[in-house]
Amino acid sequence: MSETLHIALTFDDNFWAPAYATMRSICLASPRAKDVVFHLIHWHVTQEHRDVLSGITEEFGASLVDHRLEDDAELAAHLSRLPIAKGFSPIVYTRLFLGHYVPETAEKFLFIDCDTYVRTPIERLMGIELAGKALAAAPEPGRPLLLRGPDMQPNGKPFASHDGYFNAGVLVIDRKKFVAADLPGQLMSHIETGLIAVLYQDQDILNLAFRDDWLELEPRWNLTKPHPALRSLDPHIVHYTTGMKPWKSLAYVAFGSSYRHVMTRAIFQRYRRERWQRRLKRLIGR
Amino acid sequence: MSDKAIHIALTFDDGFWAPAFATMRSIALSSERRADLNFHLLHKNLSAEHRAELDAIAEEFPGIRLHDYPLAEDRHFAAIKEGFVFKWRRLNDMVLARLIFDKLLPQTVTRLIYLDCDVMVRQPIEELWETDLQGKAVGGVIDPNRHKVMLGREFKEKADIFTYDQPYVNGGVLLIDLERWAKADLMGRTAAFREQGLLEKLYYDQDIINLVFAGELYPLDWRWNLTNALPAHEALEPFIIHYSGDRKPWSLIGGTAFFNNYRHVMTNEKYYAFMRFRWRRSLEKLFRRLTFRSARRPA
Repeated sequence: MSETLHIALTFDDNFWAPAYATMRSICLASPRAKDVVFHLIHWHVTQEHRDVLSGITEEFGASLVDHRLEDDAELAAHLSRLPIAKGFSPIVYTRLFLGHYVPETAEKFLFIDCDTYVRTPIERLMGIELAGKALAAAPEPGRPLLLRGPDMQPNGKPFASHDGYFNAGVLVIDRKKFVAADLPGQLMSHIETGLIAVLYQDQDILNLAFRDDWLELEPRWNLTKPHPALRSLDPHIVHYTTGMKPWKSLAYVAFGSSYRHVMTRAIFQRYRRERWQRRLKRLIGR
Repeated sequence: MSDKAIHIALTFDDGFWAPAFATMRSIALSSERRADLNFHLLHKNLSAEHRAELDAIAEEFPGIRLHDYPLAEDRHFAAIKEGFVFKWRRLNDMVLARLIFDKLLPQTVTRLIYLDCDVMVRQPIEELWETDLQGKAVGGVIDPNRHKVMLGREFKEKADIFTYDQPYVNGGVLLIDLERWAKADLMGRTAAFREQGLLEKLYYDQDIINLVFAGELYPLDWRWNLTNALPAHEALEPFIIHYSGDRKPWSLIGGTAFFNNYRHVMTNEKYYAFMRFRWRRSLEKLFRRLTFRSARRPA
């Protein structure tokens, strides 16, 4: 029997269609799509949108397992105490709780952001040897300003300017080590000490927890800020980290036109329509 | 032709006479083996005036030889293009000439570099020529945009023809073992695709080459065929710039890698002559359209 490929995604209702595109890109690229179990850790996703996601099982035979965060009172209590930056949802912190949702049978699992487009069989990434480290990730190119503040001056974060720092959008995780790190406990401790106010959400917390305990991936496994010129690097995973999202009109990004076909045109158009309707409602105050 | 000869094929029609010149000149400028260069020019409807312009290559770089293969009356070319429909303005049946190299070129040519005419070469072409194909039939650069081309809309349309993860090269720069190419019987295989009703689904010769030579493709360093070349790519020192998108370096609007260099490779004289030629042709087309419409308008 083939080994199950456990992949976790966290999203809210605003990201239902990108979550679909990320899953579909994984399944399109992998001859082992049937072995994939997607752990959908979601927050107030409507039934209507959730039904669309089932298309992944119908088209590729991959399994979907739901973890509805709104039903998790303990997590909701944690999230209510967290500072949330503009443009982010409380969902970003759920990465710290992945150990709760991915089953113990998964020795290793993948976490992936929903603004990604996977172009290489995911088993190649998940099959890498972690060499005793807790996780594998690609370095974050924007780390100098994340480790330090304006003018690269110390800003209260417990990082040195020369520290390594990974982008948390694509992580291959050793489940046991991840759980052993007790990230929810560390989060509570950061809240109590007040450090949470200066940390860049869960990404800083992960980097603090796994400092020197992560394996560096080739940047093509998590290509951030994908300018169209970077297409020629033939990246394995494209990560649309800036405001230029491939589902937006006129986005100048690598593989923008392919992305529409990964999401499928009907869902792409529906998602665009919904965003416009939401914006319009906000505008007229309804 | 000497044993040391480097054989390079270009296929173009009259609308690409100046880019073909620029491609050849870029090769000559960057090569230390100019005297070994043999250009095999497969062309259609090329005016005598424009053909004469190409001779400037042999005049500027003594030793370079140009060999002509007019296609308009060629029976192999007539046969290969049967059944193909061209939906996009920037492609025409000239792309199919690649499939009949073995029918046209002398048998003494056993290895061949094929280049599209919207490329600019910056590295000695002999380095590509001497690449060891390690027993494979065709060398090419894996196309970064392959998935959409191979699989079509929503990555479903052509899923019965290609698999997502199979190697797929861009057809704009190819290093070809011409003996293996001939043995592969591209004309016969194309006829079989025609009978199966597949031609409409295929992306012309590029799909055919990738299907016929599946398992026999040697992946070249991506810098030998940098597609959709943007200014940001200049820092990466690409070997061959392939202006494969809609932005072309001979247009007035920039936005491509080495935009300024290209004009000097083409030479300013030919750059402006080509611009006048294109404008004249557009005006003639417009005039024909207008007069055709007025002729059809009821009195």
